[in-house]
Amino acid sequence: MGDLVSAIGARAEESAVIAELKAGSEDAYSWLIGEFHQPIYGLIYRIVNDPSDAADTVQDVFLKVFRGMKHFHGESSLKTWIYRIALHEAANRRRWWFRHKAQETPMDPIAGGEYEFPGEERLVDPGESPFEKFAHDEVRVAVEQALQQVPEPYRTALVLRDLEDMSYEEIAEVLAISLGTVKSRITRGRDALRKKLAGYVREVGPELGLLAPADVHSEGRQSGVSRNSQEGSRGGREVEVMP
Amino acid sequence: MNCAGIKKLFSPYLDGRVSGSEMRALTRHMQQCAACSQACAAMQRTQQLLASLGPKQAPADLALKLRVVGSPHFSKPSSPQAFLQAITPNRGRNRCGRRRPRFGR
Repeated sequence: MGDLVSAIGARAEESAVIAELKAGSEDAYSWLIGEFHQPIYGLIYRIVNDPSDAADTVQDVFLKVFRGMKHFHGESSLKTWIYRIALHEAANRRRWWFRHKAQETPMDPIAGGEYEFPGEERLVDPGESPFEKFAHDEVRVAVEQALQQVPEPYRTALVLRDLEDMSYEEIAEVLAISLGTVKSRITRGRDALRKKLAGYVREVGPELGLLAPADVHSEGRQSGVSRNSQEGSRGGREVEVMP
Repeated sequence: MNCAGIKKLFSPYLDGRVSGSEMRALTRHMQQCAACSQACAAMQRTQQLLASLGPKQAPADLALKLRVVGSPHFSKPSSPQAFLQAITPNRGRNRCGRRRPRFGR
């Protein structure tokens, strides 16, 4: 009952914001930009083929949002509507990239130094040595690069789930697919990412201190429902990976 | 359930999306099958590594650029009070929707 009341309250609140946006309120647009520019940038950065295109693509997305606001009648939530526009725009950008740039631009994000990590605090242990920080950065770059190689539509499902923290229901709504398809895309995406990372760990793991778990049985027992138990590679001094 | 069937449950299991009977089958199978137990741990590591990347920070000037791009669309300046009232309709009211008394007037 409480959930229903808060859902109705949130819906009424959103309707009021939409009315303000339709009326052209500057404050409402500032709120919209503040609320969505960061997550939309993060989403697009991870799903376009050339991350340096992300900021321009975000501008295109918001332009469409601003222009389309008067035609938005609340058929879905504001968030779902904006995410759909973002995914559509990112798909257009990917198609454009394949037509115009795929042959001329080698995709080598590490060599090109395209990945910068201003938001790296999630993997950083303040007490870590320069070598440990280097190892963490190496792993982060490798994971970003492996993610770029996960094919669509699995990459988008993976980004929405594990980086945007969306529920299966939200993903189903944004992508307009069934819950079963969401589940299968996430499974295949994680499997593809695991395979991409396996080669990297075999190649440079020993140099960077990437450890395979010594006891796979105890690991399996710990593995519970574990979105909340992600301290594995962050709490300890060593980066422990074995995809 | 055989290994192929169990492997399909690893990812939903990590997201807490398996049913009670699937969970029992998974637990029973993993106690007996080292290969599946190891594969599930690897899937979990992969998911943890990805999640640990965290959100990608937008360039510092992006919000400002978006305001410039959008300025023709939000030409109507509105009062901050009106917008606050819009996004918090119960501001200044109690849970029954009645206006809270203001003391010291």
